[in-house]
Amino acid sequence: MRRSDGSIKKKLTFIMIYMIVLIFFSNIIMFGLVNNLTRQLDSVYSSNVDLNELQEQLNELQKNLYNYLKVRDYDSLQEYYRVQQDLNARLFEMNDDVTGNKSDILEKNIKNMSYRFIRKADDSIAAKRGMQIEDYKANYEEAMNIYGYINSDIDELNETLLKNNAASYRSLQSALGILEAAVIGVLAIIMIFGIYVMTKMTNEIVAPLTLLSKKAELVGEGDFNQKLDIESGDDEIGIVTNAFNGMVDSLNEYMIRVKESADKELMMENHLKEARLRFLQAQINPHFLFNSLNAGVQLAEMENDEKTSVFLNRMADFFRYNVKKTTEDATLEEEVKLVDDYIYIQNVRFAGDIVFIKDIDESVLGYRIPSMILEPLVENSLQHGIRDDLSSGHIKLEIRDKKTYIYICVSDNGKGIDEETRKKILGSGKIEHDDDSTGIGMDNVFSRLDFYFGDNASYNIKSGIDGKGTEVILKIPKKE
Amino acid sequence: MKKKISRYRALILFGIIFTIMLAGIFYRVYRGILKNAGLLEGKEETVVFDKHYVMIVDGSYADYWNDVYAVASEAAAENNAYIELKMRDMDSDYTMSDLMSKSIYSNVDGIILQYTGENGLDKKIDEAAKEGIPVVTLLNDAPETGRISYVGINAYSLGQVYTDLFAEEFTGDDRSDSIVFFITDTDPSRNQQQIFNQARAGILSCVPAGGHISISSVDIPADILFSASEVIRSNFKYSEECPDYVVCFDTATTEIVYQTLLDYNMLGDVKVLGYYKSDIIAKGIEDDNVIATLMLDANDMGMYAVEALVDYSTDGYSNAYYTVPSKLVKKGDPEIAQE
Repeated sequence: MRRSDGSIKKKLTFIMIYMIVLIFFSNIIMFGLVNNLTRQLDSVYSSNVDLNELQEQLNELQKNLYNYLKVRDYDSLQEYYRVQQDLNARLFEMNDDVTGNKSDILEKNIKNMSYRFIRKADDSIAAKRGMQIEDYKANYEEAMNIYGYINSDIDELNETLLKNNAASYRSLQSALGILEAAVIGVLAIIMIFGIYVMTKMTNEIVAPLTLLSKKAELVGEGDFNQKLDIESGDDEIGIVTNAFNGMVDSLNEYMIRVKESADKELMMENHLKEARLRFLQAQINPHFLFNSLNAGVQLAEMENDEKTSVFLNRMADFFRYNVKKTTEDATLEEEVKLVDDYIYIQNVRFAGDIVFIKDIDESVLGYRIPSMILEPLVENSLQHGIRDDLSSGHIKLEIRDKKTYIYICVSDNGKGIDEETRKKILGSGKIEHDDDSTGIGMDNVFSRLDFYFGDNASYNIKSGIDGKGTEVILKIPKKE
Repeated sequence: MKKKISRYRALILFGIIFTIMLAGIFYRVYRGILKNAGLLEGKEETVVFDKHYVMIVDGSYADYWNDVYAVASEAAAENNAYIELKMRDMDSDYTMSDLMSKSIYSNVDGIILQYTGENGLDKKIDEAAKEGIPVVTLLNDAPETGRISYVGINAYSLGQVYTDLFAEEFTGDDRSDSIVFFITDTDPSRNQQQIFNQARAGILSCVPAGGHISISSVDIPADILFSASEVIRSNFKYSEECPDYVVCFDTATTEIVYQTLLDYNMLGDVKVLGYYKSDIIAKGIEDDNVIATLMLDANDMGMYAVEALVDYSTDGYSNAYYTVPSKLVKKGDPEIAQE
């Protein structure tokens, strides 16, 4: 079975994947946006948190500085350096750009003052270690001044940021609310679009099937003039449509053939029936005659009447052939023998006036033809050709081997045949039969030849010159 | 078939366009939300300046200094510098020296300082100079310090301005007036004292024959705000004779004087010469109780201050003196009418 690119499975898979991908990417975009906004919301106050942490570190640094200067506590000094390291790392990350933004400027100032504070704190520790009391006091005082300034600026920056951040938080919160509605809106649009596309695609797939089922129903009811006119692609629908149309065409063709065959069969049956009827009628006489003739032969032999004996014997042969061969085929030789018998009988009847000429190629006498073919033709020549003028008339039987077929011609020089009758016979028209004939008409002969040989046999009837004489020509295949 | 294939392509194309458009729209919405929330201050949108200057001024001259700051800020921006305004609030614990210290510790690139003569301020100017931070003084000079420039009034010319005004006032022959100058700058070497001396000499020289003019000065402690008010009030309340004219050298003093006269119902008896402009001063001028107010050109003040710092930064030196034009503005003059 052909698998096409546009199969229903592929169509449905395409639509399904298409919608899933569309919804997936749309969701990714919207989810990303909402997620980012939520993170922004979470981080709004992070600057305040950072600032508080910075303040805590500064406090811790100051506390450790104070402890060390007061009691030379080395734990405090160690802790001082640890906090200083963390503080330096944090300060490094802080802004030192000069921008027009108040918060940035405050941050820059805090950063620089913090470095100065650390420097002064280091100086005071160094002075303390060097036992320079005045220096460490002076440095400590200055450090504490700076520390105060830093705290003041941190408070100011915290307040500024808090105001800004609160406004940002409110703004983000309301934006999130609007965004939620927008996300629902976009999803609704995608859903409506998806439903529309899927409905359209489903209809495209189902509609031809519905039409196909209706047409199939009509075909089932015997109406073979049903064709599907669907603009279908190379999907299963297209394949089914083409197959359906092909099936309907085949059915139509088959029905015509069946009808023709039935007509033919009927005709053949009619012919056979006719032939059988005639033979049945004929059989009554031949059987009776055949027995009577055998009795006559015996009587003639008893009385030594040889001529009568031969005559009766040939009469008996003639009728025996009739009885035996009505339903069988025969060899050409048997057919020729029957013709000889017939001529002999008729010569006895007509006092030997019938001139019968035989020109036979004996090599073909073994081939088979339907029985009772030659005798009716010869009988016809006698009855309708030369009967009225036996003295000058003759009948000629010619059988020749034409390599691919056998040529048989039964001709006479009798009164001939008119064109209408000739055409009638060739057109299988019925011809009235005489009562004293064997009863098998030309039309019957030709029909049986047709049935026996099909289209391989041909026959013709020709009229002689000046309307005198008739030639019946048969061309039959060689059949063993 | 082709139609169907092209329809599938159209569907895919639509899906791609839809997704891109959705991403584009949502990205713009996202940027819009962040911008609206003030969270979109990327470095690419922020102007970064080379220099960071600080302008330290006293809050009692708020209106004037705000004007000066606006001009200076613009001029600085043109020279790729930003000026941070540190205005000493009335309720702040910080002195001008503290603000100087904060600026020095903040490693600024230059300081524009309204010199008030406050104790320790000279030392801070020197400290800044030692740290390599140029200081420009405004309004009052501190020539003994390490400041690089002074931008302000020329004492002689301002004295002449007052002389001209009183010359117009004293039209009669037998004038007998008393004029009191309230000096907030008590250091005798300072500007206000010089102005007073110049004005006094000038006014006395133009007193008409037979006239008797008394000119005196009262020192108002500038760094003790509320006591300034008490000094002024007591000056009116307990003086045997109220002065005919009061000359003020700052906006806050002018306002206190005006309010005191109003409280003691003395408006009309005493004529006030104010200093710069404020709502109260404008009202006084409108009521004819403030006969004139001294206007210093805020534009020149701001421009010169920045010019001094920029020149110093680029050339290593700058003019030591920048004189700002001044004039006495009266009722009907455009400077007051604008208010």
